[in-house]
Amino acid sequence: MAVAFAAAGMLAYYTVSHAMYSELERQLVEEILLFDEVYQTGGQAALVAAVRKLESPEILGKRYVALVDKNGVKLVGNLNVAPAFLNLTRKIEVVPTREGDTVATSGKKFDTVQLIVGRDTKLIDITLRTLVYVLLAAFLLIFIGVLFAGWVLSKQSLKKLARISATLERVGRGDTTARIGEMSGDGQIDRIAAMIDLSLARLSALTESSQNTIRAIAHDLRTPLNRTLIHIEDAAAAPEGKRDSLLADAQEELLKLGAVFDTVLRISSLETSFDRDTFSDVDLATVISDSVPLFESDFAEKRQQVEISASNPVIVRGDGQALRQLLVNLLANATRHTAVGTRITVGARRENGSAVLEVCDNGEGIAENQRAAVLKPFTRLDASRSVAGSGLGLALVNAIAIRHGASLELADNKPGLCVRVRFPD
Amino acid sequence: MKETPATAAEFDDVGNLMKILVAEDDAETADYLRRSLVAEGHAVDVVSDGRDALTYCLYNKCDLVVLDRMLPGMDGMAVLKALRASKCNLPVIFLTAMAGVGDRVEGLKEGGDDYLTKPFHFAELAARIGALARRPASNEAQTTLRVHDLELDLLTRTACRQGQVIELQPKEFGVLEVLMRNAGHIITKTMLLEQVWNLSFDPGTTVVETHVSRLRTKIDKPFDVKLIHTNRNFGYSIRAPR
Repeated sequence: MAVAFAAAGMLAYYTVSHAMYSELERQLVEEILLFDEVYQTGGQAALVAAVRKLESPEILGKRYVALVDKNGVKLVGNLNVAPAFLNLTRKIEVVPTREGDTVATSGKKFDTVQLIVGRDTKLIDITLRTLVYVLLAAFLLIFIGVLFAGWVLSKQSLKKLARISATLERVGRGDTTARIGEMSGDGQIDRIAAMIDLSLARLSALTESSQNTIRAIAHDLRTPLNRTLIHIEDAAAAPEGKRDSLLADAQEELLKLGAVFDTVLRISSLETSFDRDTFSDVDLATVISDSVPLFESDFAEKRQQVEISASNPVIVRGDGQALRQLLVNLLANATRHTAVGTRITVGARRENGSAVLEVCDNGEGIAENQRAAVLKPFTRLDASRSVAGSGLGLALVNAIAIRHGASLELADNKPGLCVRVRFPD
Repeated sequence: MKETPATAAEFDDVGNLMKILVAEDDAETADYLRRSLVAEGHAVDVVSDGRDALTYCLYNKCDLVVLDRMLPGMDGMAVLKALRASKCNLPVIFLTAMAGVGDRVEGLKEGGDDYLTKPFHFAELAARIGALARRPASNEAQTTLRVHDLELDLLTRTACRQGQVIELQPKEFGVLEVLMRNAGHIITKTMLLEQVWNLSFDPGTTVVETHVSRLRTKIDKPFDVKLIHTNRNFGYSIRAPR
């Protein structure tokens, strides 16, 4: 910046100086022409008289004029110095006078004498000097200003960086709630800070959900484990003939436990998977027409009417098996947790560009304050305690939705529950 | 629907008995597998290291490998890749605790023939081993399946028993086709879900039972000889009377 400023200053200096000297030269040339005219009409005597008579109006500095002979000796006039260029004309040369001034001179050679005209350059010097001072002052001012602004900015950046590092240190110590927070400005650092906060939020959500899952597994798998233990103890005490069936029951329980672990694993691997290589175009209408028949006998048993509203293909990018699992779980909930004779509607459609898959019923629904809880693993509302299930169904649905970047909405169907999965555009 | 307990061995004809390699590093599981497979009439060798498994397959004659994915020395996936890279088409069943969403897909994509997760029911494994042993050569085009007096035309997709045409729904046809391709052997509910419904998970409904029961009504009920049998509550088989 300093270099650019210096270059601009030099350019200004030379432009001004050149303009002023050009003007001076023009005046001197005019003057020489005037004297030339005098010489042409009146000869050397008239020229001498004119030089003598000259009065200086001091427009652009003091005027000087002189006639010198061939040897450079002054004949008449107020300029006591003969420039070195006696033989040249129409060229300006700056020479010092004996009085200490500097004079810009030019001249013309007549038959026996040389005419020298000149102007004091004091004014030009003053102007140029002033210009230099002004430029220097401006440069200094700008320089100091920039320094100050830089200092203020870097102090702000340093403060922000310190805040980021302090936050990260807190996170490192295990405080998952630490956030950098909103920062003024829209600079690189502010954007990075916002991104860090976003990742921290996602990370802490993950930690929290996995902690919840672990806790829930520890608690909720005790019941089936206990049941298995009872089966085995009973079998050990049972007479020969009854032992086999009790052991088969224990085996059955254990396999179910294995399936629960499978589901927990699937939820956790879905929650941490970002790989979309396995995604393909999946038609939600086909997912519906494939999945609903799986529940044919369940619906029939509870005399539930099922209505499908998905006439047109609704294509989303996704994992076909996972999406079928999602719908199967929603259908299982719809049929198991509602009363006999409930009406269930299943649909897929486009809404403002985004694909929506929904399963609605006109059953009892879920109270608003319990809707968030049912998405968590192993949650079983009191009303559903008597129905078989692990409480993992909606948690898996939620994980699959997250994997697809889709949002899961539990809405009031007035009466009943409406579960909507809204896919990104 | 419980019938007399029956193991796969009861239906297996001697020609299907195999030399099986079990690559499993958990000694107890390995011993259990060895005992159970020997009880089925197979010859079994056990290795506990991935490198040993690979060497065994390359230099010994064997018909099938039950491969754990997490093995010391060389993991099961690497063993499979090395086998397939050396143009070895030995049937491989993964038997593993890795039950993640992508794990199964990956295992099958790399050339595994089947994928079973622990904990498992031995009968499930036995049924899958049986199905793999009977996998027909790929160039052998079969257009008609026949069990006793029941005939299934795969081209016209019609069933016919004692010259009587039987109307079948597409899924019912699918179930019958899988059973008849494996006539005399147990096909588990999970296998039917995979092969007929293309589901890699259990929807937890009675869809398989419902379809088999309908199939029975159409195939068996009007006739004296019953062909479809239920085995131990989790599998089905179709066979001619002895």
